[in-house]
Amino acid sequence: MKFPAVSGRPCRARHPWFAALALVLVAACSSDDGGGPIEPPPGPCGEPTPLTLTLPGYFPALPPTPDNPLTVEGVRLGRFLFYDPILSADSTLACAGCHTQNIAFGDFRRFSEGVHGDKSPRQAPTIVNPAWNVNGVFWDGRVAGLEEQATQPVPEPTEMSLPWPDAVQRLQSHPDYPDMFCAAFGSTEITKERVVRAIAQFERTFISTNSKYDRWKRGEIQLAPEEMRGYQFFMAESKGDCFHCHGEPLFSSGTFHNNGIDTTIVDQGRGKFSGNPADDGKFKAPSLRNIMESPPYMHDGRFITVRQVLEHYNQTFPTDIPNLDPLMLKRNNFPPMTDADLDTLEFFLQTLTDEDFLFNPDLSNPFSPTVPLVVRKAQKR
Amino acid sequence: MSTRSLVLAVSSALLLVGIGCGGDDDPVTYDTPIKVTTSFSLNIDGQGLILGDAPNYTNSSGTMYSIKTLRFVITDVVLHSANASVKIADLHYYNVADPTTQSFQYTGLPHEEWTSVSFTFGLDETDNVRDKYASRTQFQLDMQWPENLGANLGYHYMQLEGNYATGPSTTAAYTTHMGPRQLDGTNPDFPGVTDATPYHFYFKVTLPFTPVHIHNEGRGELTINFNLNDWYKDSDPTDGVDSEYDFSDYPNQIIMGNLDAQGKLHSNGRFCFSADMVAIGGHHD
Ligand code: HEC
Ligand code: HEC
Repeated sequence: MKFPAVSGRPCRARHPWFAALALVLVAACSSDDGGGPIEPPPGPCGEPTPLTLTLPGYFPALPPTPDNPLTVEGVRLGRFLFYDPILSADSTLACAGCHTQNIAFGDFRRFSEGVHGDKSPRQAPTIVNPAWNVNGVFWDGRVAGLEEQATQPVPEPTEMSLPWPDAVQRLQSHPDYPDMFCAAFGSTEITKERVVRAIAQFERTFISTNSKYDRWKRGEIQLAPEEMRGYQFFMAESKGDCFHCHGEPLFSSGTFHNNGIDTTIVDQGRGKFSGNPADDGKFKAPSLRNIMESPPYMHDGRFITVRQVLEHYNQTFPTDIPNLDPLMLKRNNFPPMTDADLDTLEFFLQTLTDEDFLFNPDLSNPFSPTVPLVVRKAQKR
Repeated sequence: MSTRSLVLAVSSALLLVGIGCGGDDDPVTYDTPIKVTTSFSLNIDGQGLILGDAPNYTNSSGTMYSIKTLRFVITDVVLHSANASVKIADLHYYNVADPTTQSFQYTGLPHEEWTSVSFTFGLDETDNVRDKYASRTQFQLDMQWPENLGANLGYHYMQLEGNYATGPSTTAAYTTHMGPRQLDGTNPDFPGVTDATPYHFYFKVTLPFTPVHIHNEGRGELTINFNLNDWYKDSDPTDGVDSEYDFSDYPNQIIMGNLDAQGKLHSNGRFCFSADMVAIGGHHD
């Protein structure tokens, strides 16, 4: 891995922290593409540098985003925006205020709080490998993609409560942002669309591929016998049978199910926006990567420990829960797992913790003193 | 799209047109590549499919059941005429919950009198390989096969799920999942069982239909009829093998890797399908 020469681009940063940022992601330069068409001469902003993410072979292909290709400059801008409270009414709350990196970009609170003290109706989910979240974003999948999602928290009165025109105005008169937009999008003009594109680009680099599970999958290490047994349980129909909804390697299929946490419909979930009663009570099966680090659990944060989650799955389900997934009800047909079995499953779930993701300096707060972590990592190599 | 891939797309489009014109004296007559749209018509002995919790269909053993989930994959879909066979899809993944998966198109059929369609239900030995279709993201995530039923085996063929009646007012869930099996002794569902050589349960069907010729500027509509109740019906009562499948035959519903259950589904499945093809528009020029 190399540190790409971000400095090769026009970057007239006035604050040292803008320059301090380096990306560890591999940048693919468009000039590598020999034999292509002659490029137009770069404008005053220069051409943004295409960014290619390297993924392990067992990962599904990265869904293409032709309308918002990843670039070094776009991701970098998105990182600053994600961590900048400038996008909230009283400049106190950033996206990162409810999505904390070292708990997988989730929130440790059961319900997050907006700038006016309002509580969110649902628990803030983790954001892990969201690039594959193509069936809809949010617990109920009600928005199509990360760009559209990012338009919502800023003006939302119960969250950041800053109307978009004001947000754009603030950024436009900031000493540094216009130049960063210039580098990322070719002109200093700032629009809502550009803001959300940059944020979405940054989020697409939230890639977790280096847990113990991953290293085992790549043949670099062995799992301990009890972890291996936990993996077998995760797969086995008569034990966990988790993989049908939380499949490898993302540990989320991105599809919607009623996993039976309520016996009657309390939150309509997907049914509310699809209008289809067969969707009532269905929520997205979220990623289990870093699950041990990101309590509380479920769309309403009702469970504080993974053990409580496992005990939920290990119950005898009432047969009359509307739209209950057959995979849940099927569990009634055989004896529940023992405590030792649940321990075994937990051993495996622990292997999904990816410290390189939770403490990835490229995903960290660029405004905070943790930035020198970049240097520390570089020295380690 | 980069210029280079655009060039590639244009030239492959030309290639398709080229095939369409192949061997014909008058290319002007046949300058429109012919398109065929394939869709699926799901039924339960002729009744339309309505998803739901309450058992509303009856299988051949007399058990009432409902359907809540249906996902399946077919591969190597080929249209046949007396002279030609054209592959119209490598792999098609259908999910009843996702309308975008419920039909597919192929453009560039030559002018032939089409008589049948064939496909593999599921995936054969060469295709059912772990992560082979990793680039088909949703298929990969929804249909992956558990490692402990075959370290190098790839995918389910089908997930058909719902509730069945266990008494006048009681129900239980069934999960008819189909796929291959290989065991190395570590699978907790089959403790200690090993079989090094994989079992495969995919099958190939050839479905004839009333021959159809699509004329110039016309298009084809192929419908694959899929009667879900036939999974559970003894496919051939005269062959001495009882392959009737009732949910209560497998009280715990753990049928992935169950040779008896997979064997019955394998025998019955080929009778689930029939096909129709019609030509829309077009003229004799
Ligand atoms: C006040 C706390 C709060 C703030 C600030 C906030 N979020 Fe969220 N976020 C939430 C909650 C709560 C949800 C879940 C809402 C739902 O699903 O109905 C959520 C959901 C999401 C999701 C969906 C994840 C998934 O798996 O579907 C993404 C992505 C996200 N937020 C990104 C952002 C971005 C980008 C910002 C800044 C522009 C932001 N959030 C600001 C609380 C917050
Ligand atoms: C039928 C699909 C399905 C199966 C099978 C399934 N889950 Fe889930 N899981 C879900 C859904 C849907 C949610 C979110 C539900 C909600 O929030 O209302 C979820 C949520 C979770 C959560 C909370 C995640 C978070 O970030 O809040 C954990 C942990 C979890 N599942 C673990 C497991 C384990 C372990 C198994 C196997 C024992 C399993 N699941 C089996 C569908 C499933």
